[in-house]
Amino acid sequence: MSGAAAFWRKYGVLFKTDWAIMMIYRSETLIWMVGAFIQPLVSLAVWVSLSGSGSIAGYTASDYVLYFTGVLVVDRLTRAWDVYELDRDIREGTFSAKLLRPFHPIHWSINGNIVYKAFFAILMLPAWLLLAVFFPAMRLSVDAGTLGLVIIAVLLSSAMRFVIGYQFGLLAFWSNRATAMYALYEAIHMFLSGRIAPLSMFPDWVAAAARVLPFYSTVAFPVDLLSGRLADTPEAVWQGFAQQIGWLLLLVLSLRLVWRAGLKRYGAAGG
Amino acid sequence: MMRTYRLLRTFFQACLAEEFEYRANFAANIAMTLFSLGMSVLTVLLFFYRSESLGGWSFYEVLALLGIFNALHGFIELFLQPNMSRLVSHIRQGTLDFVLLKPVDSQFFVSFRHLVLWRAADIALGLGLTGFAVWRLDGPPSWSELLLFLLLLGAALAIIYSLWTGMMVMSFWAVKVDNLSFLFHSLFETSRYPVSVYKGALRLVLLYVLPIGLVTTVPAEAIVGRLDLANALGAIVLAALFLLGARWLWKQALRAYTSASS
Amino acid sequence: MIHVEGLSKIYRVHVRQPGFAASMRSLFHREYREVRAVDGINFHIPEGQIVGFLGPNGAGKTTTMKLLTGLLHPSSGRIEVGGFVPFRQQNAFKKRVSLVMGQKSQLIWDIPASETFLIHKEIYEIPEQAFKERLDYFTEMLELAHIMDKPVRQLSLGERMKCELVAALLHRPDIVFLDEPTIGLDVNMQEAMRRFIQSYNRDYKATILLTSHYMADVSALCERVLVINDGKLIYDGAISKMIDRFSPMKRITLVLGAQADIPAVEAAVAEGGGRIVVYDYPQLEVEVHREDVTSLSAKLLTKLPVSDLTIEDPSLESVIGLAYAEAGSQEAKG
Repeated sequence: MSGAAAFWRKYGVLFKTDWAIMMIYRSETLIWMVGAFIQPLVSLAVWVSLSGSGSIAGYTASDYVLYFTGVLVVDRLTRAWDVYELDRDIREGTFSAKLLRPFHPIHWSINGNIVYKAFFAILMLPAWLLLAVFFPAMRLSVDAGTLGLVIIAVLLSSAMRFVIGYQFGLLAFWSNRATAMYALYEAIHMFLSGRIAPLSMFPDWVAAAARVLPFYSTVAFPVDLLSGRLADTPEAVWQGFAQQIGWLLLLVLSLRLVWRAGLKRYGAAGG
Repeated sequence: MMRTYRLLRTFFQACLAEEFEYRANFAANIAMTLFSLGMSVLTVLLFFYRSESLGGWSFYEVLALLGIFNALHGFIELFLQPNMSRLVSHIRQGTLDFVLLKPVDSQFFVSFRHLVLWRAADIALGLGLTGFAVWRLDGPPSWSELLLFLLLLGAALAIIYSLWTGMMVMSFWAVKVDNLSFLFHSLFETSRYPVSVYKGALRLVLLYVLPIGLVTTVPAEAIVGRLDLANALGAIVLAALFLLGARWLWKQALRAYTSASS
Repeated sequence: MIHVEGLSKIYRVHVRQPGFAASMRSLFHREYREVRAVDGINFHIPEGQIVGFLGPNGAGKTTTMKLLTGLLHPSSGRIEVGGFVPFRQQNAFKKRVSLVMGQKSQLIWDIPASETFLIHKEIYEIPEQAFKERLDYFTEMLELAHIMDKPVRQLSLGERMKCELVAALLHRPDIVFLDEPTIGLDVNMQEAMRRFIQSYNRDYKATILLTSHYMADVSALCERVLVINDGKLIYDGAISKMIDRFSPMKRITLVLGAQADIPAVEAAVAEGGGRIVVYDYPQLEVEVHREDVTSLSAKLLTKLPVSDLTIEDPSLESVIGLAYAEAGSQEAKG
């Protein structure tokens, strides 16, 4: 058996197992998915109420509907939760068992992300199609090529947010506040990634900062692609992808460093 | 009354000692609270950066409401959330029997035994924000406004407490309560802004069916002096009904529990 | 197989005082203390040996196990396990060792144990044929057939421990660390576990280091024991020798056929160099140095109306207790 084949077989069996576990908890999974819809919907209600029958910074009520539905889907498909699991595993010492196996623990987390996000996608995409029949505001006006780009952007964003979340989880090697630190980061992310409002609602300097840092590219960028806002500005599309890839590389690099330092720390202090 | 107070004080001290065990946590939690309140204020600032009013409310009126939201959220995290998870494990592991054997009202005990004290900071900061906003609006409120505000805030607390007791009680019938409390938290987010933001049927549902929209909007209306008398009366009547309902549910659940376990 | 030289592990821990005022103070100022969890121990375990690892709670057993599996870095000293340095955590090393903790589960809670076994098959790259053979072997040895396909959360503790062992041993490690594998199990289940551990050791020449609070485990499985107290190795050798070393006394139990008055009994025992532990007619228990056993028994048989007499070593539990106490008093003196 070649190395690569063995590697994929490992993922195969992990996928099947995690899928089976998720199915046991399908009602929890559903509630968890739906619960995350409330915040973007509240933001949507506020902006629709604010804009009234006019428009704000280029967004009318129906633009907001499309924007926040996009946020809802993209955020759900890219958000990472590994910090909570890592924090618990490390504190309770169950991480030890994972470290003793000849397969890096990160693969368990990556696989978990794939399983749940596949499940979310399977449920949300048909729901969108169905809703678009009734609500014209949710109909998309982009071509198939752009949809392909949206999928790539969502995958890249998912990877970015996973790597960020995993590093926060590894902070549990040093501190019992890892989840709180992550909550802090999430609050900033909520603001700057476009989950509260499209970036053009912000003062220009805030929007500019959000575009340079790994915020805009994680949520608002895929949403803008999806809603067709970047249709006339191909350079913005390439910029967005360049940012995603650049940040992802940097983040993976820092993950390796944090992992190594964390293991050293774990070996010194024990679990 | 004295006894209730003394019990609460004892619970309080026990939790305080536990809390101080973790030095860094305490300071960090307070910092966290400040930070998240700051973010909420920033969000409101953002809304008003592009507009003059939100659902007919001015900036400081919305801030006053946000303060109330924060205080109520603190109340949930201080009293309700921690006790809920304990009750669930009490029921699963059968240790509820120990509680029932104690010479204290069992509903009181399971509702208030465990407190997450640093959440009191949420309440203080929230009310502080409300006070600041009201003062910026038109100076200190009149005595009658203040009294009405306190009355309606009490009604809001009673409604929230009753909703939680209702959820907690479900665990006697093996409902997975974690899901319910997660849903509650998500839905509670809708009360962050005036209920007039929502349109049509949704507004009515939030006001009177799941009175989550009501709990922040009505006390806020009272303190900023734009009270709708129907809403105020509705809130008080609902609060009384909810409290009675919660008590009744608790008794039913206990009866089911004591007759089922051998 | 396992080679340990001058091994030490030092932790820094936060000192906590009880009480409200103290907890207030700890908010601003923390005191730390160094704990030598493992303090300069040496031992060597050859291939295929089962060694019992004994010591009171907090003596450093689990820390040593974690050092040997590479989960912890030693503060000083040298460890070699199966030719590897454990804390480098190479995959080749991980495939040769296994750690079972009676208190922690590595099975997936919500699904049948057989699913965890399948995951381990892929993770440890166990060939199909070998996996089947091993699973058959385990299923027969541990009588797993009807429990393997139930969700783990529905298993009894004993059933779960059996599956736990299978998950840990599927990749056929030749070095196995068992940390309290029988804790909380009933007597029959303990017995089944012991038989299994014994045959795994015999069939695969596995080297096994085992901790347990149940002396029955240790005396049934281990020809050799290591005793650790306060991070220091206080005994390394055969169990039988350990009794000689820490307990020079033997115990004679007599059943008297007729009532004998107390002064007469006392006189007879004292004359033979023994000491009365209990006299509760008709039973008499006497403690005596092992070299005086024969002469005292002879005396008692002639002087007292004995209807039955047995001579035994003190229980392993009490010997261990003596060993800890001795180590403790030496500590106090030094």
